[in-house]
Formats: sequence, C-alpha cells, structure tokens
Amino acid sequence: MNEISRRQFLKASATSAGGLFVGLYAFGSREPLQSATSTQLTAFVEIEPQGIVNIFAGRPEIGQGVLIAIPRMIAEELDVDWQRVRIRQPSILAMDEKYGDQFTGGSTSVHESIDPMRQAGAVARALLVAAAAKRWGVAADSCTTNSGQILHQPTGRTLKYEEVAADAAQFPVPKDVPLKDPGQYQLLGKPATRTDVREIVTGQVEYGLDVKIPGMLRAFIERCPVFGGKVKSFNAERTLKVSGVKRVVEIRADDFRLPSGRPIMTSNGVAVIADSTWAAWKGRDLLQVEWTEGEHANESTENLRSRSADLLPKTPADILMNDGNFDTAFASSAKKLEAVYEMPFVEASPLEPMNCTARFENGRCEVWAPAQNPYAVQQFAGAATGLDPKTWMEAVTVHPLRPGGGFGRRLDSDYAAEAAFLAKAIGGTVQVIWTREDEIQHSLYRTMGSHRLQAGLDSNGLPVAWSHHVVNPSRYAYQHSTDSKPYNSEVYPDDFPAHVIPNFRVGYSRIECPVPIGYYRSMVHSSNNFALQSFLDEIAHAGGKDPVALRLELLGKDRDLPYADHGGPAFNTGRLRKVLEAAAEHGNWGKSLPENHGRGIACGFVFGSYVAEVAEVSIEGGKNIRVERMVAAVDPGRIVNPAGVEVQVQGAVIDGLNMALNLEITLERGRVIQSSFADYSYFRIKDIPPIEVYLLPSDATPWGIGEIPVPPAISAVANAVFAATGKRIRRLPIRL
Amino acid sequence: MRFKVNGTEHSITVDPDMPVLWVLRDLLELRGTKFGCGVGLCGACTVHVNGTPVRSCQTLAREVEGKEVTTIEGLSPNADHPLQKAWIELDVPQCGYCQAGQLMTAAWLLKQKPHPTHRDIDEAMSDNLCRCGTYLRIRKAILRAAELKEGKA
Repeated sequence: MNEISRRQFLKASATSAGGLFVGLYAFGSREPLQSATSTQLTAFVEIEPQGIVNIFAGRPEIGQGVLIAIPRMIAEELDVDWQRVRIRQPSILAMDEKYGDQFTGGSTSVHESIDPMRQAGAVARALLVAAAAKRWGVAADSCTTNSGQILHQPTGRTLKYEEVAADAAQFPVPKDVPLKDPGQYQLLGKPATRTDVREIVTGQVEYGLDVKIPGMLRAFIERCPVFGGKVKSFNAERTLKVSGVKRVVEIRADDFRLPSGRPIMTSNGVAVIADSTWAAWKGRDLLQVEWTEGEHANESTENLRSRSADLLPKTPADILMNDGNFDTAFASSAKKLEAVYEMPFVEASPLEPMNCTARFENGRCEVWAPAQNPYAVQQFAGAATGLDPKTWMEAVTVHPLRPGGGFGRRLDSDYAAEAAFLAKAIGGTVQVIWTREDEIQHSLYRTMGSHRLQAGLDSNGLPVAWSHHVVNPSRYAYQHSTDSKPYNSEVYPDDFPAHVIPNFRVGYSRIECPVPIGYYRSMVHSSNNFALQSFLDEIAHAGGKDPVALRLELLGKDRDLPYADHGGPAFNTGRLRKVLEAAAEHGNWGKSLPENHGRGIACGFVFGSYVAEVAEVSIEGGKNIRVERMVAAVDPGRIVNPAGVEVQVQGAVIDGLNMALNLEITLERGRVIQSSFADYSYFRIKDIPPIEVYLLPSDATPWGIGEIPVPPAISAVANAVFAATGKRIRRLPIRL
Repeated sequence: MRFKVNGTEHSITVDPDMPVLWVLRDLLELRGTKFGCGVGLCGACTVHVNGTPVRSCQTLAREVEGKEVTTIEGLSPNADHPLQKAWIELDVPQCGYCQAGQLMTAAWLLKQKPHPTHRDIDEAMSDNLCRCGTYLRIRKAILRAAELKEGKA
C-alpha cells in the first residue's frame, strides 16, 4: 500500500470547543502556478466534546456515493461508532479553505483516497490512544479501541474519545501508523446506506441552481448557433424594456483562454442580466442578434464522416503500436476481415442544466459552482476575469455546491467562466443559467469517431494479424494539452486484445473540427470498446468460434500484460477472464432464446476495473429493439461500499443503453440539430430491463466503478442485435 | 393573484405569464421543485395543482389563481409520507435532482392506484426522467410504499 505521498501531510490541533481536529493537507501542485507553500485541506476528522465525530472529505458528490465511501474509510481506521458520525459536505468549509486535489472524475475517488484517508483515521486514533495512555500513566500499546472508546486491557479502565480529544492534539502526529488488516474491517466492504436521502426527499438539498446570494442577478446567454461564430451586432431595445432586465452584455469567448491556450468558454454570445429568472428569460427571447457565422457555417456530420472515411484507408498519421509485421501477416492469412465502426457526438446532459453564480469585487472573485472540479472552476474564473494566474489561489474563492448530476460534463468549468466574466462586467453577483436547449447545442461533447479494423485469421479462426486505425477530433487537441499528444485522449493501444495477437498495429489520425470536445462517462472507452468488442464478435463468427470462447482463448493464461494508460500499469488477464465467465454463466450464455431474441457479450478493462456484460434483446417488427435483460459482472478490486457499487453499475449500464440505442448529436450547417429531450432522448422507467449485478471483489487495489460498465453495455447490446437479426451493427446509435 | 401553496394562502403581484416553477422558486423561495428542461419533457418541475400533477414549467401563474398547489416541501409534514419512507428505506436517489418530481408523480399514482402494477408504474412514471438511472429503485420503492400505506411492516 502507498503511504501518504510527500504531497500530503496530517496536522492535529485542538478545537476551541475542546475537541480534536486532524486535518489532511495537500500541496496544490497540479499547475506550476501554485507556490510550493500553499496548502489545502482535503479531508478532516473532528471529535466534538459531545462525542459526535465530523468527517469531511472533499470530493464532490455527484450521485456516485463518495459522500459515503470516503468517510467510511476514515471511520474504519478511527474505530468509531458509525451512528455517531456526521458527514460534512464540502460547501461548509468552502468559506475558509482553498482546494487542492478535489475533483471527481476518471473513476479515481476511491482509488486515490483510500490510503491517505485511512491514514487520517488511524492517526487520529493513535493520538487519542496516546492521550488516554498518558492520563492513565500506562504504555500506549497496552490500550485498544472499540467504537469510540479507548480501553486499558489490564485494568479494564475506559475513556471515551471525546474525553481525551483536546489533550490528543498535543501529541506529535505519528509517522507510520499501522492500518487495520482487511480481515478486521467492520465498515469497509459492508453495505452502507446514504445519509442524505431524507434531505433529498423533502426538497432540502441545495443544488447549484438553488443557491441564493443577496443581491444576485440572473443571466441567460444567447450563444451563436454556429460553432466558432461571432456576434456581428445586436439590438437589445425590446429586451431592455422588459421590467427587471438590467444589462445586456456581449461575451467574446475567444478573448479568454487558460495560459496553456485551452478555451474556457464554448461560444461567443450576448448575455441578458435581470433581477429575476423570468425577466432574464423573457429578455433573452426578445433579444435580436446578428451573427458572423464564420468558416464553420457549412460543417456537418456528413462532412466529418466523409473526411474521416478519406483518412481511414491511409497510413495513420501516428503509429502508436506496431508489434510484428501486420502487412505481411495479413497478406498471408487464411481469412481476411475488415470493418469500419462509427459513433456520433454525444452530450452528457445532466438533469440540472449548467449554472454558476459569481461575484467580483475589489479584484477578488467568489464563485458558487456545482462542479466536478472546483480547482478548474478557480482557473476558469480566474482566466475569465483577467486576474494574474499567480494570484488565482488567493484571489478566487470557490464554494463547491452539489450538482444535479455530472457525468463528466461538469469537469469543464465553462459555466464558471461565463458567470465570473459577467460578474466582473457588471460589478456584482450574477447567476448564469443554461436552458436545456443551450445544454444540448452549446456544450462540450464526447467526440464522434471512425474506426477501421482489419484482422487476418489463421485456419483455426484465430486472429494472427490486427490493425486498428482511429480517426476523430481529439479532446487533447481541443484543450491545447501541452504535455500529451492528441491521440493520448483518444486511444489506449494496450486495450485488449493488445499483446495477445501477434502483428498488432494501432494508429491514429486527427481531423479538424469546430466542436468543443469534453468528457462523458467512460471517455475514450465508450467509443473504442464498441469497435473492439464488435470486431472480436465478427472474428468469432467468421472463424466459427463462440464469442466467449474466442475471448478466453485470446486471454490465455492468467498473467499481467502491460497497460500504459489510466488504470495501469498492468492489465491482468485472469481478472478479465473471471468476470467474462461470471457474466456468461449468470447471463445464461449458450442457452436457447425465443425467436427474435438475441444475446450478446462484451468485456473491458476500464480505468483499472474489470467488467463483462451480457445483453438480451428482442426485436419487434424487424425494427424496434427492446433490451430485455442485462447482466454485469464487475471486479473493481477491494470494494468499499458494495451497496454503492451495485447502483452505480445499474446507472452506468443505463447510460450505456442510451448511448447504444438513443443518443446522437448531429451537425448540419455548423450547428447542432437536436434541441430538447424530445429529439435527444433518454430511456424512461418503462424502457429499463432488469439489470443483475454480480460483484467479484478481490484484495487488489480498489479502482473505480462509476464509468466502468458503460462501454460493454453498448457493445453487448450491439452484439445481441446481431445475434437476433444477423445484421452486424457498425454504427451508433443502433438502427435497424 | 391569490393561491394556496402547501396549505398557506399567498397573495402576490406577479406577471400572469410567469411559469409557476419560477413563482415557487424565485418568489416564494420554495426551491425543492427543479428546473430541468423548461419545456415539460423531463418532469423535474412536477407539482400538484388541486391534487393533479402538472409540469410547473408549463403552467402559468394565471392558471393557478384560486387553486391549491402542493410541492415536495408539502408532501408531508415530517418526511413521513409512505413514499418518502420507502425512498429512505431503499436508498433510491443518486444525484437526487429528479427525485422531487418523481415523488410528486408517484404520490398521485398511489392515490389513484393504491396497488399499482408494473404497468401502472410504467404508464404513470414515464414522464419523469432520471439521468442517473435510479429507475429500478424507484419502482421498488413505489411498490414498498404501497405496502407501507397498507400498514404492512
């Protein structure tokens, strides 16, 4: 297990109320802008004199359950009665502290937190024991703890944590405190219920849009419908006549970027600012804007597909992997297969539309943001208000608010940039609100893509040559990423079946595209897994092999293979084999199905966790696809909260089903065509099949779960549709 | 205009065309009712008007003159509506944003059909979108609430 890294340290102090406070601090060093001495509180445990234990851990809760999981880690090592624990949300601390590693994304929260958080709990416990031992005049190692009490075994004396809490702060923070053996766990690995449901079902939770800051105004922004277009002129005469409308302000998004060159807003536009939501809404409706549509006015999905199709058969611009000699092996193989897979842009559309509240006064910016990365909010707001980057840590205060869903969309803090810019423009407090149409048309998108796959099979139907060419617009290119290449965000060359097929080649070519590219749950995997797992299915059928048998044959002996990207450094074939076998077994693989039904299977190693899924579909009238059943087998390493894992898997599978069957963002004339949940639609309760989740935990380092089941859900459904109809699906969303 | 919200009489001056959603959130400070799409397609804004669920983003202030509006804050005095109890028991929410709308629709369903079938639930609840995918738990919780309403343990 890792120790707390040198970038983090624990500090103990007595509270003014007579309690113990142990804080975990991190150096903020993700950007060279921070001074080496600036530190941020990332977690704490506080023992109150009345015995209540407050635990705070700063990862934003977007519905994925870190609000429970992370405090459980601290409480486990602290050895405290869970009923005495109160979980504090980040917003309470936001007034006083600045933030370091406080983001929720990449399915990393549990993985990155588990060791430092357990240390924090263990250190607090050690301090309490030291204080009790001193009071009794005994050796600390003759004391044990149980559920908030210290016990001196030989004499049977006990002290409650709160009775020694103030004294405990006087002791030096011990360096290497032993952690519990997992066999002793009382909390971790056991299902925990959420603590916020009562608040939610009574309408008491404050989401981003619910924040109320005295004097705040509301703003809607009319954004250029064409990507990259600009404001030519605008007429606000009728707008300004609406009672309550205060100002109309142009936003030149192009003028603002991070120091790296990364854009901080997606669109140029004109903002209507009013003293009420309704006045701002009405005012915006009456605004007249003329646009200079610009060079992308004729961009379209068809153009992008066509430009991709031109590149696909050519030599990739970048070769990322080149084992053996694909061309020779392919030319001489018994059977040759080729397929092109395509997927559209998709938009994450959390149910709470983008919004953010900001105030700018005396060169300081304050932001209330429902964000997934409060740190990025600080940067985007700092850049939007023209503050010197070296001052952002001090000059921009971020109050993270609970978001109504994230899904990756809220990792980009463009909404914060807009609010901060407008706050400065009017010298006050502004809440920017996006409508659903704004969200669907002016967002950042999971990129479209085209994949060309080729395989040469031997006479036994086993692939002996494989080539994968990915063509798409790159997110890293859009973000002006300086320390990565454009292909690093688009393809992971070590993805299975890499390293198990000789003569294996992976290449990438980028296409130019004006669409802003962002994050959507499972990222590159939601596209690539569809291509890879569909093609493996095609290979299986071409070679007369069962799709599960082919995958098992390729996985071979249980061993580690290299994996250089997020979730690595190793990919273990045995763990993938086990989830594949479990999904197949529970999914009744190989058993018969009624007519017009089909079963498909897919698997993946996604951000460190292993997953396999079986989908059962039925086809009605040769056209209508209904998912009848989903089975998911998941190995995310050691599981902190099995109850949380199960619902995350179900939610992620549903996201995958939507990507498989519903979601498509289409470009025509440089703009997004879709505009509401009517033409960009998500499944409703009547569409959802039973989703069975089988957890295969291990003692391995825990990785994530929030994103992991999305990709194989898509691929399993596509393979199931083939099984039901004989029609191979090469394009998403699936249409018959 | 005069109307009742959660049992309290209100007399306010308001643009008659303001959607009830903003009347509730901005004028009456009742922010449990949510804005999700503004065009009546997601159900996050669901409230009861004279006992019937409506999309408050599509219901104008003038339309509730003299009527009774119930919001999530008024569903029960003490979080003790059988649905709220079932929701807590079964850990239904994830991000939680859609849940007020889900509960208001489900409350009406249970009034109409104390023993709803799966089909009843499909038909009544399909106007409420959940992006997090808590549907399976929602269904379970509605069935559980029906039991609790019956007085079953």
